[in-house]
Amino acid sequence: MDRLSNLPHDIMVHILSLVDIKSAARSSLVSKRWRYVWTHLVNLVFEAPESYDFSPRQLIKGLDDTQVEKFCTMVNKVMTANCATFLNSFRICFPLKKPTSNGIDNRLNFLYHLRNSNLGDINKWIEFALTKRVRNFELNLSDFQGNIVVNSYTIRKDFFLVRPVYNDHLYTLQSLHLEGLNMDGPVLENVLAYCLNLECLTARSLRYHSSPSRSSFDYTQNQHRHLVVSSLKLKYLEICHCFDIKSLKISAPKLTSFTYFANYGSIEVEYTNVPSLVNVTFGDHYCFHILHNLHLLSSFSHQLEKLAIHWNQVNRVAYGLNVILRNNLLDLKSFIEKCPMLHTFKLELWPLSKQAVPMSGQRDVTINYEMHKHNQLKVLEIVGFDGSASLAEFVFCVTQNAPMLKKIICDYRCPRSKGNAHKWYDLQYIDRKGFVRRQAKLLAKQIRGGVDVVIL
Amino acid sequence: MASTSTSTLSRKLILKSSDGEKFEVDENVAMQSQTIKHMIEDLDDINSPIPVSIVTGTILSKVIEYCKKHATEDSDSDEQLKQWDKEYANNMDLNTLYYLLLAANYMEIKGLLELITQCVADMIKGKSPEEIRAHFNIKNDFTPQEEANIRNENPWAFEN
Repeated sequence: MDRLSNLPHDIMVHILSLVDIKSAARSSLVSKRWRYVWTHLVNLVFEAPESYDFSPRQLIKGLDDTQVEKFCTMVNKVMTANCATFLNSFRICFPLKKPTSNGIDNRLNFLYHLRNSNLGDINKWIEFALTKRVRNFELNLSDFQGNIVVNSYTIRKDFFLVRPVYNDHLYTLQSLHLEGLNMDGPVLENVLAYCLNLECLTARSLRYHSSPSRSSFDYTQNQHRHLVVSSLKLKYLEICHCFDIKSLKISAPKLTSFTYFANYGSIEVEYTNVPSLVNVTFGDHYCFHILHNLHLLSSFSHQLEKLAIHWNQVNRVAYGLNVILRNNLLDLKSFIEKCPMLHTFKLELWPLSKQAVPMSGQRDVTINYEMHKHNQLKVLEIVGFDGSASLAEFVFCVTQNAPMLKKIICDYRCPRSKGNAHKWYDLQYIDRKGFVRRQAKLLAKQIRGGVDVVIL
Repeated sequence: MASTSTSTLSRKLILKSSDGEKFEVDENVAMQSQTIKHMIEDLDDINSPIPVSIVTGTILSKVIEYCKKHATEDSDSDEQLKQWDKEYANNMDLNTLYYLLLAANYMEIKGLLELITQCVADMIKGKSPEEIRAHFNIKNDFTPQEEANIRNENPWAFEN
């Protein structure tokens, strides 16, 4: 007996909201009862299917025109069919640009390959989502490598003003994620000023690029930008790889979570008013900078509960800081010492191309690691766990000096915090899994009792 | 001493299914249902059975099994709980899933509703319309012409 078709309409819509958009659209052919259920979906997610090849080689070659056209057709069709009165989320996650240059280092030569029709499509998608008073909006055209995108779709500084008179969607937008785009002006400032209920703002790989001419990207236009984030509602802020933003000033009394990945050119962050900030993630050069200037965290380090450090081991050598060259993860203990209320420290390690020196089975138990006693730390999470000797030393040091530590999570997979690059690396390093698991077990045997080592 | 303090903390409630079966459960187990939570707030005498009118005894016992597991938070890690959820859902036939879905919806048990909808969604994912019909025993009530029209509306959905 067909029970499924007797379910209340809302539950049917809810079920379809949990499948990919293609499967949902296909359900229209099941029976008359199912014919229009999928047109009531309030969560529309468009992303490249898992089957896509995200290897750097493929990305340089670029997506072929039919893939891009297919994607645009799909979004347009779903948009036309949709008759929901509002949208909870609308996400576009697809590398629409088509890099054709012949090498990774030749990034400046990426030519702009969006056709006019694609540009018009993107304009329409934004308008559609906002007109439907979308709550969570994502436009992500990044190239899945976490690289900065030089030429991409340019989002207007007033993109959210879609209707001349009523702009009630300005009150409904709660979460905005922009990635891999150019901005023709103060997009982020304007969003913060106009979208009064915005709680989450994610900005990744954005560039200021005001020139409408596509073929010539003039680096002299590159303005030194100062971004002021001032908001009464904002709870979550993420700014990653926006290299044009040279300095940042944050005043957000409700802000609980902040993520910042930046290079040496843009490491000036001024925390003026962040009394609620408890959860922080730092990445790339900003980590090194903070590690050597821990006083920069002083206005909120006493209240931090969770700190995540995305430690890029490869860059350490490239930027030649003496301390870092020692290839010693022990230095990271200063982060923990600096934050007395910390209960979770998360270390994200990007995989080294050469395997690091593995930890040995025997440890010299007489070594006493110097570190301030930390009486709050409960969880140590290591993503990109490689079983190296340097990492093991760091773990020994923390277990010795944090008596409340209950749990160590060892995840061998590549960190997720850098765009979509992990997809390729996870495949690349899949053979390391067995080795890393053995190393994690070895580590578990050598630390004090009462600590649960979870291996993922 | 510790045991007396816990027994005063968790009172017992009696739930009565649509077919008259009675279940005695701890209050914190039953409170996972928003519907029951609201009912208790309006109730003067919590010793009288609380009717769960559209749910049969067989289904209610399964609902309670889920709520019991999720009422004791600290004993299991998140991963273990997820594994338990998975096995719990996998052991249900389609009929039971359907009634559990209705029960979770009526009783407003968010976790259970999420679990079962996800389970049904996984059955739909990646399947062709023909496969969905066969799996759920759904009758095709379209004419061939209507079918062709639907395919033409969204050809992208039916490509491989």
